[in-house]
Order: sequence, then structure tokens, then C-alpha cells
Amino acid sequence: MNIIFAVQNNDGWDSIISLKYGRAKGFFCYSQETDELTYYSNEENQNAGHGAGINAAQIAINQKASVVITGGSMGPKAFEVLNKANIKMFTQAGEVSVLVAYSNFKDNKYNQVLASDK
Amino acid sequence: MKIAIASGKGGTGKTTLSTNLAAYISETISNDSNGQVVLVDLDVEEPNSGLFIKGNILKDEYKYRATPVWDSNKCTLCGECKTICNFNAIAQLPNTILIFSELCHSCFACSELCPEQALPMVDKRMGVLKHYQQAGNLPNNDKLTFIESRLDIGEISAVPLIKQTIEYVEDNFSDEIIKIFDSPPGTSCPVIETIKDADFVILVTEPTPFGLHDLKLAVETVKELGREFAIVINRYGIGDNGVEQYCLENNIQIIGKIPNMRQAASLYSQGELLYDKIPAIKEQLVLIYQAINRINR
Amino acid sequence: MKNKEIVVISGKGGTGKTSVTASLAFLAGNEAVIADCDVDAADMHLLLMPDLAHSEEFFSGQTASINNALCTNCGLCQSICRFQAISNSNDNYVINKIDCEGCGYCARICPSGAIKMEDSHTGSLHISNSRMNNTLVHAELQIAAENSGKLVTKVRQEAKRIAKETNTEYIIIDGSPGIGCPVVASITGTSFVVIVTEPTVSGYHDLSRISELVKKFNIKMGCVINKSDLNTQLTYQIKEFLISNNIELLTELPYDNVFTKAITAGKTVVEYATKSVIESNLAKCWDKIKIGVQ
Repeated sequence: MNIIFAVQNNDGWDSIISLKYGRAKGFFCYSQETDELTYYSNEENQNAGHGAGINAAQIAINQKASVVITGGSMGPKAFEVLNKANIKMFTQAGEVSVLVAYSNFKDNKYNQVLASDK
Repeated sequence: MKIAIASGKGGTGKTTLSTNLAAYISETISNDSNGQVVLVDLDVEEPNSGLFIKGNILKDEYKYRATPVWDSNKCTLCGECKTICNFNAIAQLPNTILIFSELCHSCFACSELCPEQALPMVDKRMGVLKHYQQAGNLPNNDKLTFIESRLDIGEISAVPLIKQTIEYVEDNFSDEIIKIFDSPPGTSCPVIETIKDADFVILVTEPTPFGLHDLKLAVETVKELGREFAIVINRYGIGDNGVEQYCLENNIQIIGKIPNMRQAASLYSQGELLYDKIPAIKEQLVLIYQAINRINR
Repeated sequence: MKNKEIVVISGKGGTGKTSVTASLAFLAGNEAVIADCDVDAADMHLLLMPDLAHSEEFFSGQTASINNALCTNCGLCQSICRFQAISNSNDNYVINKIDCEGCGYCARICPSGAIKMEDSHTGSLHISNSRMNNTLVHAELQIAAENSGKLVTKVRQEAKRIAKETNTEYIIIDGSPGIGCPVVASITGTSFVVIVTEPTVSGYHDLSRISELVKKFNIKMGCVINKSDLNTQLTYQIKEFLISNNIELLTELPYDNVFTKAITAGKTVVEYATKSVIESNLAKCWDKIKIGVQ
């Protein structure tokens, strides 16, 4: 499956997870099938007045992700979109590296959120 | 004739001036066909004039703005709408188009550019307009009308409701009738919408450093919009003469100085008008009304 | 240490919100980072004397502009603009930047590609050292800018970052007036909301509206009744309201022109009216807030 990580920088597996989802600097999409880690910039959302979360969620949908992992809370709009698209959300991962976050995820250390926790 | 009462800072006395001025003029104005005053509360997020001006309700109507709805039968999920929307109000899920109408600015782009006509625009309620007759202190005063609009909680922009309220007033009252617009505070979009077509803007300020600082922003705004304007100083007597100095140096007319009086504050606290009980304040309204009459349209 | 964010709001203007916030900023000293989120009419700097150590420009949304060299005067843009932002003078189509909503419809349909969308300069943000031994994060919106709350959010983010980096315990926020997005952006995620009200019909009316809004966020609330001796009956009603709505009464302040005298002298009222009831009430208020925010 495809997993999306919200990040603060573009440094491959060493990138730090972002505390913000909607206005994260970018997203990494990891494909478990092909073992590829691809970066998607979230530049255009830095300027958005409202609805950054919606657009950020769209990126996850476009990449056919099944899981989204972020460092802080998930806002209500992003939550609504991802929830309706049946994408599982794992929040409060903290500012760890993508590598550590993926490892924690595989070890079931993260709890899935079932409601917006903002 | 449209007179907007605005200020850079909140709490300077816009509503105090709007309500007292409107009521005073309605009692003074001649008895001819234009002998009418319309007070319009355009501070749609927090309309407060209605606490001071009561009347008989004539009309009570919902106001709407247009937002798209998704027609799943016609949609081919091409995703054009999502690309078009510049306000992130549309999300494209694998089998659904999701519309966040609270983010929609009603630009019609998605609706008109959808290749399948699958996003018709429908009306969404955004607020309420109330039209009161025979408003004010005097019984059976046919000369004062009060219009109040209130924005629904959760609505992002006050601008469409302000715009529609002004249109309502223009449709129902002829140009010569004096209309007093109680504006929202500040200098952002809702204020611009309120004052941009006003014939005259009265900026209310207090004679303190806070008042002066925010007055300068308000003056910049009215000048940018090319509006004719003048200043009324409220709570005159407190603070310093910074505002007066500034007006003198910049050739800005001060058309009223409402004195600082505890009695006024007390009456205001009870929701009462001031001019009929405090002669010193009535005197200032006389001067302000004279200044208004001198304006050439 | 988790930073404790305290926001001071009022619903309506003129209740004394900025005076109270500035006094708290003085009492807190270097225990707090101060954030002025009243970006439409920012006033805290008048009392805190910031040095504007760092400034940055802020962009939000977009505005259209027409390149007349490419324009063929077909008028299509004007016909579809829902905001009357496109006008024609001397055969030149022009965008009125104040009215332009930034939807991009015109840019999208222009047959000659003559319309471009550019990021809008909406305001400026500053990080300053204040005269009170603390950092002030403040900003101002450009005239006619949309106050979406985004600049408010940016001010708060910077304040939070600085508090974290300097290990400062409190963040005191001068909130936006009203009940719309800027207020929501001022309140969300805070630990304590202080509502400054006054015993007037307007004040009471706006107190109930604003407390309804804050309740939705489930944040602890406290109230300062300013000018409390102006109308004793309304003060009594407000106190009843506070009790039934689980809002802590933090303090009452008298109707006194010393507030204006202080501002005029460029001082907070706790500096100006030393050894007064007002000073001790505000000091007690700050103590109560510190307890309430634990």
C-alpha cells in the first residue's frame, strides 16, 4: 500500500515529520510494493487563506494512499476529506524522521484517529 | 445620500454616533417627501444599533449567496473543478466530488466551466435582514427607518451580506433620502464594501494615542477610495490633543467634538440614546448635521 | 515544558482589551512571549515600544492583472467577473485590485493569455524586543486586505516557536475582535481565554455571543469586568451570567480616566497607577490566570 508522510523538509528518509498537516512543507509517498519514496511539494498551500487541509488531503488521494502519518493534529477539513476517502490517519507522531515514523507505524505504535483532534 | 460612519479602531463610538445622529435628524428633518432617514447597521458580525433603536418590524428576510452543488448523475469525475477552484473549496475523492461551501467565494468559475454542467449553483443562506419602521424615541415617528443585517455564525465573509443589504436599501429608498451606514470596525474588506460608494464618510475617533494611530489607517483607507470625509472626536476631553494636531497638519476637517461625560457613558450602558437628555451632545449633532447639509453630491 | 497560551478577547471594541493585555504583558515580563493578533488595528506596540528586530512580508491569496500588450479588448473577462473588479477606460481593460477576489476565472478564460494571477501582499509580520523584557510578535494587515485569520495564525506560530526556543512558559495573545475567522484563529489551541467586558447592553450582548463561540472550543474561560461601577445593575447581571456559564470572574476594574491617562503617557495602567486598587486587581488577575492555566 501507499503511505503518505507530512514533512518539514525534503531529505529522503531523514526528513523530519511535520507538526502541521495542511501547511506541511511537503509530503513523501512511500510505496510498499515498489519501495519508492517520492516527494511532493506543498508550496502552493503555504499561501492559501483557507482550506489548505483540503488541498493537502487531495495530494494523498491523488497518490492513492491508504495511510497518512503526521506529527501534530489533523484539522477538521483535512479529516473530513481523508475520512470520506477511507484513508487511515495517524497523528501526533512528533518530529521524528520519516524512517523512524515508518518503523513506529509498522510496530503498531501509532493510534488511528477516528475524529479530528484539533 | 449615503453617509458612512466608520473608524479604524473598534469602540470609538460609531454606533453611538450613528444611532443618535439618525434619530436626531429624523426629528429635525423637514416634512417633505424626502423627509426620511434610514439607519443601516452594516456591522453584520456584531450588529448593535438595534439595542438603541427599536421599531416595528416590517420585513424579515433571509439573505443568500450562490454555491455549487454536485450533480453525481452528470459528473464524469474529470477533476476540472478541483483544478479551477482557487479557494480549496472542492476536493476530488475516488468516486465523489466534495464541496466545502463555507470556503466558496461564489465566483461561478467551477459551475460555468464544468464540461458536463454537473455543478449547478444554488442559494445558500448566509444571514438575515430585518427592516423596521417607525423607529426611534418618538412615538409614531414615520421618518426613521432601521435596517439591520446579521451574518450567520460560521460564515466566512461579511462582504456579500453587506453588499446585498446596501442593494436592498438602494432599491427601497430613493437617492435623496439620507442613509446612515453604521460600518464594521477596522479597515479590511467589510469596511471597504461599506464605504466605497458612500457620498460622505465620518470617521469617529477618540483623542488618545490608540485613537490617533488607528485614525491614520482609516484616513489612508478613505483617501485610497477617493471618498470625501471628516472627523468626529468622541469622548473629547480625555487623552491629549494629538488627533487635533494631526487633523490641523493634514487639513482634515473636524465636524464634531462629543464631550466625555460619565452621564453619557451611563446612559449608553443602559441602551439609551443621549442627545435628548444631554444638551451638550445635541449641540454637536446640530453641527454635524449642518456639515452634512453642506456636502455637495 | 508545554507553553501555556492565554488569549484576551472582547467581542466588541472599546472594552479595554488592549489595556488589560498590555498590563498582563508588563506583569509577566520575561515569563511570557507576547503576540498581537489584532492585526486589523494592531495597537500593542504603542505601549510595548518594539524595536522591529525582524520583519517579513506576508502573502495570502491572489490578485489578477492584465497585460495590455496582449489584450485584444474582447471584454470576456469583464462579462464573467462576479465582483465587478474589471473596468474599461479608454479601451484599456483594468483590474481594480481592491475589488478583485482572486478567483482566477478571468485568467483562466482569457483567449489571449493576457491575464496573470499574482500572490497578494496582504501584510507584514514583525518580531521585536519590547521594553518589558519580552518578545512581541506583531503584524499589520494592508488596507482592504482579506482578514482570513491566516496572518493571525502566522503571528501565533512565530510566538510559539520563540517561546519554545527560549523556554518561555507563557504566551499572552491580544486577540482579534468580533466572532469570525480571525477570532477563531486567535482562540484555537489556547489553554485559557480571558474575555474583557463592560456593564453596558452592548457589552453584555457581545459577551454572550463570544462566550458561545468559545464554548465550542472547550477552553477554560475567565472574565474581566471593566468599568464595573458604571452600571451596577448590569455588572450584577453579568456576574450571574458568569456563574451560570462556568466562567471565572478574574477581576473588576473601575470606570476611571487613569486608563486613558496611562495610555497617553505611553504606559500600561499598572505602571502608571502604582499602589492603586487597579494595579493590585490586575496583579491578582494575572495570578489567577497563571493558576487557571495549569
